Amino acid sequence: MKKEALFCTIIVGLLGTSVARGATEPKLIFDPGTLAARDSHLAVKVGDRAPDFSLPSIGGRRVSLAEYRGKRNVVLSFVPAAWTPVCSGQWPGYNIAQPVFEQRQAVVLGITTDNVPTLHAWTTNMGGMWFEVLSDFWPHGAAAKKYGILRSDGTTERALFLIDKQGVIRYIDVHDINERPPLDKLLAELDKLK
Amino acid sequence: MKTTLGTGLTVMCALALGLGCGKKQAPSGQDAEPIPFASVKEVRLPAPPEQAASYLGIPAGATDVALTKIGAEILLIQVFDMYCMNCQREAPDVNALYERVQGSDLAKRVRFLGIGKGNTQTEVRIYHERYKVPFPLFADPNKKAVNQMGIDRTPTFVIVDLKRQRVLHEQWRLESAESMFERLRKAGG
Repeated sequence: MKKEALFCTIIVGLLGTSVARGATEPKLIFDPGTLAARDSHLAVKVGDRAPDFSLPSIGGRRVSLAEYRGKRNVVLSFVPAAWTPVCSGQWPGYNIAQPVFEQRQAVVLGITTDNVPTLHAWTTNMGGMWFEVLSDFWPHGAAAKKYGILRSDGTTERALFLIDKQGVIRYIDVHDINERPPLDKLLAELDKLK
Repeated sequence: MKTTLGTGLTVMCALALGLGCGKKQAPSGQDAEPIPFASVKEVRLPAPPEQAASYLGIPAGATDVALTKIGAEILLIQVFDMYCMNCQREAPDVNALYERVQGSDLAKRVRFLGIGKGNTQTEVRIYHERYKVPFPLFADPNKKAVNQMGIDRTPTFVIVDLKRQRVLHEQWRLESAESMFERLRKAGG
């Protein structure tokens, strides 16, 4: 019986090691293949007042767009889904770009239609994000709908909205969902707000 | 009871092996078929700032850099991407490898450089500053250099023997600064 208990311990240890190692491996990422570049109709335009929203963050509080008014420029980064290829590079890139956003008095709000536990697991696997990560899961895609970027499969477009301190939309990039939006262009638009 | 336990253990074994050892991709940190030297020979990068040019042994005023003209016996190329999580995770270890080389008898013979796959100058600068990378990094926004070398995954490390004009080693992911140091030592004869 003691031998069996020891064997069980070894196997459970092996499993634990395997799962822990797997957590950093690309095999966790689901590749949906190439998708239609866009699948929605934009509901806002540059110059519009940005629609407000209040969404739960993985940090446990609700975050509204209005709380940044008069304080910070806001970059809304909608990405289609957790655990997918382009999204799993885009946010880690923004993560190490924190100084360049802060120099431009900007915060990033990262939003998907995944639920909070999924976003927590995904971003923890990526080492954590300095910016707020928000769930537009329920009512499903309500914030995305306000901006006109909810796709027919319930995910969002890969979209950037730059909103100035007055709450006005100054730049929109509803990007090909299969590609990462150019960071240089976003930073150039932020520079115009100085 | 024994049968049930035995079956359970068998299933757990299969799970453990499946999760841990069932990789379809080439294992990280291990030998891959190195790229041919001819592909490295084609690569030209924009001239770096003066300090980096001096480190790489490039004549002042050069408009671009042919990898084969770098003034070193051994060249370690790191192909990275600012957006790549594994590159971010391994950056401190790559810096440690650089320091290890600098503190050894290989210091004058080995040079490091990084190529940012698909990264603009701005993105390379962000990566450079975030991780305080001590060796020159080059932007490759259109992936021209990495395509010439036939490298797709990041981070990839390539050891080139410039003196004998051979690519000695190529691997995906660093995994261990010490093991790469040993490879460099071996490359240096």
